[in-house]
Amino acid sequence: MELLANLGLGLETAITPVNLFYCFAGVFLGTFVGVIPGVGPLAAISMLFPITFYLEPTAALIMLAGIYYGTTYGGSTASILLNIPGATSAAVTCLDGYPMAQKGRAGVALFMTTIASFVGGSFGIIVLSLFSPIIAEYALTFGPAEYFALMVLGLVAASTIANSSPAKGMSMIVLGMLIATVGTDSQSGIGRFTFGSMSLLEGFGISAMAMGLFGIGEILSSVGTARNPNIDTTSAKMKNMLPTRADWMQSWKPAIRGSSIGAFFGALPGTGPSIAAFMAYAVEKRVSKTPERFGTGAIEGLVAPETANNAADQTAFIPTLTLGIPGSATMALMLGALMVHGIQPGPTLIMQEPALFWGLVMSFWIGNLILLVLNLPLIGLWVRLLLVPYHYLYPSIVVFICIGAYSVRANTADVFMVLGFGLLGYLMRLGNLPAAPLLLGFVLGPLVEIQFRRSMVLARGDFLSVIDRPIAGTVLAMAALMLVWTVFASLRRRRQNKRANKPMLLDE
Amino acid sequence: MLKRDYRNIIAGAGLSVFGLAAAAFALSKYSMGTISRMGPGMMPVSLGLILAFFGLAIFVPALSRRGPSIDPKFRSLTALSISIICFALMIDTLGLVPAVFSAAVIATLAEKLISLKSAVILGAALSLVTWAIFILGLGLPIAAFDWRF
Repeated sequence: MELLANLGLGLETAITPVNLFYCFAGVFLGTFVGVIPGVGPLAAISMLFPITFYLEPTAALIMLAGIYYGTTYGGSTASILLNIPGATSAAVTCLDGYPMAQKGRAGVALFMTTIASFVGGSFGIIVLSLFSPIIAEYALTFGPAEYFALMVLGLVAASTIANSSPAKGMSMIVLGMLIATVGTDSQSGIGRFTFGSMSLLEGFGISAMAMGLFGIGEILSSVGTARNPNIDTTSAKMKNMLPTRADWMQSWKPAIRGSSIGAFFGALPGTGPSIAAFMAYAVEKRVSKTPERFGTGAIEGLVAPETANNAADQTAFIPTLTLGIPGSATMALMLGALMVHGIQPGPTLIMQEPALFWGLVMSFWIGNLILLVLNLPLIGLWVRLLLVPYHYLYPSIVVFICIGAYSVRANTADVFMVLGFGLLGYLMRLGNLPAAPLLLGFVLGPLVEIQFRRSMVLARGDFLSVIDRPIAGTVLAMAALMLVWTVFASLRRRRQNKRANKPMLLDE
Repeated sequence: MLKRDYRNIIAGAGLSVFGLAAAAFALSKYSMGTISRMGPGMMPVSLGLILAFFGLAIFVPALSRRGPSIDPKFRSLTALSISIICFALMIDTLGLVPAVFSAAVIATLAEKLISLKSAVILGAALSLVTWAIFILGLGLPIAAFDWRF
């Protein structure tokens, strides 16, 4: 059993008291920041990443994994209690989670969410450990042309599938890639768009960008808007949290279906946790004998999307770790953080550094486990945190973002960059432009450029020879089809709207 | 509602102008090279042109439909910008505690909900917490106070 040996190796690397402490700290901080309404997982992750820059790689990765799960879980908590989804994948959780909370079953909903996260996460990790070595071995034969094609497919899928306006998604990807060209060109050594600034020679840092776009940008759009948290704290007491026997009986089948759907959609480019959660919810409603209960607090409608998005969160790591190609903005952020620690994910990572790879996989699982152990007793604390007025929270977040940005290079230019990206993020919100594709384009941009240049050197400038390669050609054709199809679909939608004499629906 | 969808008109036009400007700048400054040996200018020029194209694709359809009004929150924007700029200017010259304190107090001005007294208490509490986490706990090489008088 090679798999068991690998997992054993991973456990050995991951389980040391120090690492467990950092995992615990990561889960705790992640949930803490993720719970704050209006702070989505992307903002929370980007705020907490700089803390890990001071740790040695293994501990840092384990803490990162903890932060990653904690923020997702924290987002679900806010969705259930306040009906404010922190992320699109948590929006599905609101559908039945919030009605449950209104019926006084908030405790049960939070309890089942924790269990569902663990079940979905564990299933996703099994899929991840089974498929990663196979895909990595296959990917060893890939040349620059294949990588270029796969990245183009990933970018096209990310900007078209999940966005209501493909033109906006694509434009943000391209803008992200353009922003990524700032700094020293890796091939010629020439500084591009630096305008004589020393700080710009290294380009923009991913943490400054993410903290600005998602942290400051989110604060700018949520300050000054009315909020009144109205939470029934008694339902989150331990004795009101335990699900009944009927709850368990109704939940296990949706959990299995949710895990499978999540694991499948998580690994595909462009789909990820949000689509997985929506699909799982739709499937559950379809197979249910009582579909009319959905939306009024049906436990299946909570368990299925929660297992699905957690399984998808795991399998999304398959392309990220085996190919080095992130499928979503969150994965792009994780990839960026791995690269800060000197780890370049790709097919050779599994072969050359098995301890690191399997240690990372097992730390995901430990992160899930700690989440389970930590959150069941701490739900009361998170509920109380939700009651802290926002006007005390947001100045604190601003301060932590500033210190986080400054501490990466001890350079005040990074703090100004955070402000710049924050203003950009706010302007983008005003124009209904999505920020997640921008980050994805920013991370993938330099990789696309390098692989494209290399493949053109190898092909002596003949682009047709790239299309001739079987894998690269097929993947590029898929990307082209996807583009054509979305353009066609949006034109048809517009015509239908016009015929119905309705104004265009707003994005989001 | 406005007569035209100005959000998308401005967003699309802004993206197009930005793309064209970046492409023009890169074209004039960096060498394009050939397809088989691409120079540093090739990528920015093509990305700028593609961005200009997508900007147009957002701009043109927005001309012929109505849209919601735009109301930027100038008070919050100004308060948070000054707060962050203050932090950036003070962290190297005065140290962590003054930077955190002033950034927090100024940031509270973005909403009118908080009295000056609670703002000062919040600033002091945050100074203490950040000092404990980042200097005491993580050992960041930042001075708590850096008076150079």
